[in-house]
Amino acid sequence: MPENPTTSTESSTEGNHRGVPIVLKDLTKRYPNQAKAAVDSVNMEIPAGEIVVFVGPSGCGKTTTMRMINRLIEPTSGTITIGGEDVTGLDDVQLRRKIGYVIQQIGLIPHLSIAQNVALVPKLLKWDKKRVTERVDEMLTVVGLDPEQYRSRYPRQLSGGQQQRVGVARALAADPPIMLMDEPFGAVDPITRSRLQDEFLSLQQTLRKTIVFVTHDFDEALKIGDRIAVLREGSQIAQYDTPEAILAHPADEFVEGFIGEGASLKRLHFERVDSLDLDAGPDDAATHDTVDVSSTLHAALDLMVGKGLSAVTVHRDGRPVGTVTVQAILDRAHSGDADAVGA
Amino acid sequence: MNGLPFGEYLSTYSGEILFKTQQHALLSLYCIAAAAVLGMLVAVAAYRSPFASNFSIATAAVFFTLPSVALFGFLVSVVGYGLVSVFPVVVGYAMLPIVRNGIVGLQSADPAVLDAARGMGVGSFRMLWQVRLPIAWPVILAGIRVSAQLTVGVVAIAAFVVKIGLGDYGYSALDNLGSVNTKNEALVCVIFVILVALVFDAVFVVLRRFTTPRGSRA
Repeated sequence: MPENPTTSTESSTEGNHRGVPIVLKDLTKRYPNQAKAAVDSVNMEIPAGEIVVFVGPSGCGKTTTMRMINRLIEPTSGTITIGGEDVTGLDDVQLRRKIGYVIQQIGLIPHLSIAQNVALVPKLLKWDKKRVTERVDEMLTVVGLDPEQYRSRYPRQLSGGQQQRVGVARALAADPPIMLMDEPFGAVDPITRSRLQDEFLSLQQTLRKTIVFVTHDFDEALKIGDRIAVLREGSQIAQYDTPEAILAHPADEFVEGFIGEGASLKRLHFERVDSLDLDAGPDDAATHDTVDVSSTLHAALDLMVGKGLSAVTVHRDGRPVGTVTVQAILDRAHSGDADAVGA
Repeated sequence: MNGLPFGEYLSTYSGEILFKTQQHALLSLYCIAAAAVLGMLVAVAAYRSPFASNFSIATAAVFFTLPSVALFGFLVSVVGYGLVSVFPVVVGYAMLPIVRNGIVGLQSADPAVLDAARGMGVGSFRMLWQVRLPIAWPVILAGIRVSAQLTVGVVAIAAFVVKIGLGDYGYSALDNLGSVNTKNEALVCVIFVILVALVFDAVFVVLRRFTTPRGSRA
């Protein structure tokens, strides 16, 4: 995941396969000798080029639902349509070569070098050697690993964070239009996780793949998802909406429980300082502590709480354009849906 | 009574000793090769099923506990003297370490590695050939190595059935107990069997060094 994602993908000779929509229709998985279906008649449309996060308690069937999309688990009934094509009848091995797959435990092949791991799917698809080599270097660069330094290393010589970068590079290598990610950043330390999330999001800005992302961490879902599907037992959709909408209007107590405490504060992550009417000009309350207009209200409030200020100066391109006050943020939080925020 | 001094005995019979050593090594090699191929076929056929795995390991283990002399004797009574009554017994003995390590090795791949590979479109044949087998290789090789040591020893006993290899010296020493070169014959048998075993072991060390994928080396 590059310093500058734009340049690295523009240098791509392959062109980029943008995402295609995925439609799940009456998708059901029933295991023998179990009374309840693991996944019970799920209907869902996953729009092209978006990240949809499946979030829910353990055992709710979110991973099972995801694994049916690349047919690692065969659905009992129902259909899966990818880019308009029903894939339930296709050859499953061929299908999987066109779907990126990243898992929490990473699963790099230990006896293959980093380059050979990344080359896995392109080789399965019988790309010619030169193209594979170029693509491997390109993908390693995209995920922020210097090809010179890393291509001939082996997985066990890399840290967990580096391994997962390779995992992402491997999943993207054959440029699949869709990606399935099962708690991909769940096994790394919090700092690395946050960095991988940021880099992944900036990568997605240019790639625009359709991504199904499974996690049990609602905060990660808020950060990563264009949309979040909150799932309950049987993979039943409790709510399927944008993070902002779910925070503002949780469908029921189950969803509220999942959001946990601090919903009002979490909502402030989704609004930027420049969405407020800034008080004109620097006033006395403001100090040298400043926030940029692109900062979130959460960051602005955090700064004020931390410094014991009631207002901070807002900068645009490094020049003060006004101030934001605690009161302005409170007013914004309470405008519109007081019912949801007042809780 | 004392016969030739050992050094003189060696030089006098060097041609014959070399020939028998060569015989011994070759017969061992063929048996090891046959056991490796057969054992791996069994392992590949069995590793996915817990029942088949336990069954094949148990069968090989039971065979392993039978005394070799008794087995040679039994086979002679069925098919007569000759290599044909030697080969199956030696191969049978060599099976246990190969089958067991083969099965354990093939089962040892990290489930996450298999899941990720399957999830990206690695089919089942490729999974065995390009993922499971390379991961299992050091363990498989260790099994064949143990079985090679066993084989060199069991082939020495085969001289009871067919006059072949270094076991012939041991057999002759026992047969002519008290005669002039008994001690020399016994010494030749023991020393050269050990030498053959050591050479085989050295070959496996080299084989391991050059066939273990770099990423799997500890």
